[in-house]
Amino acid sequence: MDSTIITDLKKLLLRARILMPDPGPGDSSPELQEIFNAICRMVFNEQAYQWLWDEPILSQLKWLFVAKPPKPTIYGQQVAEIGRRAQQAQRANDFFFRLLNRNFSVEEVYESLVAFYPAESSFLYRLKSSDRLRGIREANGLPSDKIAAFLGFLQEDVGLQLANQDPVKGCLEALKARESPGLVNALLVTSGGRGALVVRLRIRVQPGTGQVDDVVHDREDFKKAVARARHAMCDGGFLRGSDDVLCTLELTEPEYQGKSIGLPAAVGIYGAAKQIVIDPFTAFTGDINLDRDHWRVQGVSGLPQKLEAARLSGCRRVFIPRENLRDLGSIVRENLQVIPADDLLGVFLQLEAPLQPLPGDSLQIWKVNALQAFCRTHGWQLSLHRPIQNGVQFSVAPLHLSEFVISIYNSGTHEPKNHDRPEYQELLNALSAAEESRIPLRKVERQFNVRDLSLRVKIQEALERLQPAEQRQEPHCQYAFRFERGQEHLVVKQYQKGTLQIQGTAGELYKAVLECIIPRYNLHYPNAQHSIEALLATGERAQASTGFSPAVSRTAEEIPLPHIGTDESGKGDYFGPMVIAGVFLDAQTKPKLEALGVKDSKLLSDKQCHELAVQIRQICRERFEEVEIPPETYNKLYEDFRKEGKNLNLLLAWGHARAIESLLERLSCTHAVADQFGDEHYILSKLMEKGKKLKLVQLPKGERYLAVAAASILARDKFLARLEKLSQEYGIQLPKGSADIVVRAAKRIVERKGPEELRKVAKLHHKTTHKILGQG
Amino acid sequence: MKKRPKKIVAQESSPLALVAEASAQEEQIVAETVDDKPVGVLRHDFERAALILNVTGDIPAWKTVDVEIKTRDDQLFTRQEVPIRGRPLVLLEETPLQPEDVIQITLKLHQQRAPR
Repeated sequence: MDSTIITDLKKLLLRARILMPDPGPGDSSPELQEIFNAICRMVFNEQAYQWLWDEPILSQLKWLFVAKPPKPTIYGQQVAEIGRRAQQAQRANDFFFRLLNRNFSVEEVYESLVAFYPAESSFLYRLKSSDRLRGIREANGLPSDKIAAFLGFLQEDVGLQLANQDPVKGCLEALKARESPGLVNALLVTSGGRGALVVRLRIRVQPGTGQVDDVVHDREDFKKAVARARHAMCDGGFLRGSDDVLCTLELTEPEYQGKSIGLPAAVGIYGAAKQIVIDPFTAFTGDINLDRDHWRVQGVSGLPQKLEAARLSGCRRVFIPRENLRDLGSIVRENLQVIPADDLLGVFLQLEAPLQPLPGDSLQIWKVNALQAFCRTHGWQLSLHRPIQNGVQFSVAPLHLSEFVISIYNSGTHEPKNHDRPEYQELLNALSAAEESRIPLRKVERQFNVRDLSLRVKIQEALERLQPAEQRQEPHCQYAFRFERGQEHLVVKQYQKGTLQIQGTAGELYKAVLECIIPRYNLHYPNAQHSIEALLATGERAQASTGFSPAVSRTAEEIPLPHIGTDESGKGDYFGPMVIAGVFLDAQTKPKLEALGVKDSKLLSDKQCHELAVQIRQICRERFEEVEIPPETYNKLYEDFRKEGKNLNLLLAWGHARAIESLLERLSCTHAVADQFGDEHYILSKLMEKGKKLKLVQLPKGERYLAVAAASILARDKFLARLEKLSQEYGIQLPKGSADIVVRAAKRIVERKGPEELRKVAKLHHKTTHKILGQG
Repeated sequence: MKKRPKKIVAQESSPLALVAEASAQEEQIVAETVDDKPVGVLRHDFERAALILNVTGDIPAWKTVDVEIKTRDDQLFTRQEVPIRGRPLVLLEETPLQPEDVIQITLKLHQQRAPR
């Protein structure tokens, strides 16, 4: 594949669309003619039509050759080939889009597959029996990685050799080339207003002084729309006030009009700040503006043309302002999901992008995140959000319970607070815990005496790594930093005479600043007895507040080496053990594991998982631990915990703590990372029972950390090996997951050996047990 | 970018001979007379599948010409009685021939056959 030709073709086709917004017989300006011939040269003379699989390019070529057909007697065959490829690419991408998007059922994914590949109907049954689709959708990874993982599953578990098919391979490569954090499809109208375009907007976010720099053109409406989007992102807690935003468009001539760029810019900022890839099948249009003190997505023009442009560019989903819905009228929306947008939080929730709260993020965001994590851990269905007055609403629907509705308001409060069912009360408690575990906002006025120059340098370096919003030159000061995170702000000044002064209003930010100072201070002055906890607990008066987040701020880069990552496998599988693995990551093993291409086990086929696990064990040798809880032990522990009124989270915590403490017996480190499955105190309390102290970071999608990803692979591999061994012992292939196929296998065991035998092979608390024993 | 021919093809017995040279795809291919005078730019029109000479220099003020085109792989294409009206001169129609395939173009005054 020649990327230069692809880039050139994209530019030329975009230009052709601008020159020919409404194709007709009179379209033959010299510039258009020149562009048309240049496109034809690439497509026919360079024979790009024989290897192109980029759907947006193929669709637009098809469009162009309908409007301006190359001579059929000479180029008819090549044009027909382009049409065929465009159709194949469209079908392959339909399949990709559906498998990525949880709004589509397994049947709909299957339907899109058989549209271009002759899969047997038994495949649907096997697909439904497996939990892989759900696992892959929930995994942390690029869209193309998820698709590759699913293709790997099809090949290994179902025997479908789809990955080697030209359209699938080609379209996957083309999709990969369109993925990048901060890259977004923007739907814009052309300057004359007659047509519309999908233009790729690229946003970069970097520490700075809160500037917006657009390398596009000097249209005021464009600049203002991007500035508004940035303001909205800061106010919503999605962006630090001190971050600079740099935006570029792939087409820099002022051929489009501006304010529709607001929503794409906000989504691009979100992707760039959080390093999230927005799938290339989605496009955005909308203005972001203030409406009664609340940033909202507001209406724009040219919707019919924009939808047509989205379709031509291979988009399957467009976010438009809700008020523009009425403009659509009878426009055919075939193959295009039109999603009305009200505000930014709603858009991010619809995108199913992990919210990953940062210090300063609103309590609402943190609670939504906690709700998602809770439902994911418990395997509960969570609806898409519904916008309500001053907030969002979700329906939680566990399979065995009636639906439950939760509202989370912009202020950070949630409703209801209580529920009769203990399962729901546990969820509500988790949301309330979010408020309680926050470090409250307080006025800060604290001084330390730092006379030693080398200590000053160490503290200054640590504070610089915390990314101050501003570095000031102040009289009599060695340095002066201003920090800002959302509504928190602190000024730290080191006076030349020795006084280190901290002033401002902060909670979590104060803790972060103290973490830069106190450990270094105590190390330098061994007699000093400063404690961060004590400083946070006393002295300052906490202010009642809403809108501040708990300490889930670290990014992957910020967790110091060495550290331990843990993950579990088998929790959602009826048969087999639960396995928890821990991996100790240090400077020696990190580059080797990175070179291996370690990633979330949910994105790997069983075979790939095994191959990687073998290598991880070789690389890590004494630096990993695998804790297996066989079904019988698991059932006993679960029952004991339930008797004590405890839940599955505590059992999980027990396993994670065991993996960590085993590693700590022979290695030493201060930090551990785990996927979020409940309150971090679960694991910490289990560790503290054993006298182990360390800083635990529990985050949603923890698998993005190398150590956790490696642990996820070891745990999955061990689980699969044990499941295979159990299958051999019982002479029955024990399936993964918990679908109908599992029920059948379990019934065979019950028939042969009686119901009590299930204790030895399965996790009995799953509702599957009721189905098997006919109690459900 | 324009590119000049590197070598001059020996003059044939025809009244006028042009030379052309293939170049990189984005480069324009300039046709010149054997005595180095630029005549025009060769291009292929995909809508008509035609090889066209956009005349920029002087060409004889004939009404019609016969065209002979020699390609790199030694093929010879001809077209009779091509009218020289206006600047773009359609040398060949219904052809996949590209400017870079051409090494020599010969224009001959069209000789009308005497009626029997």
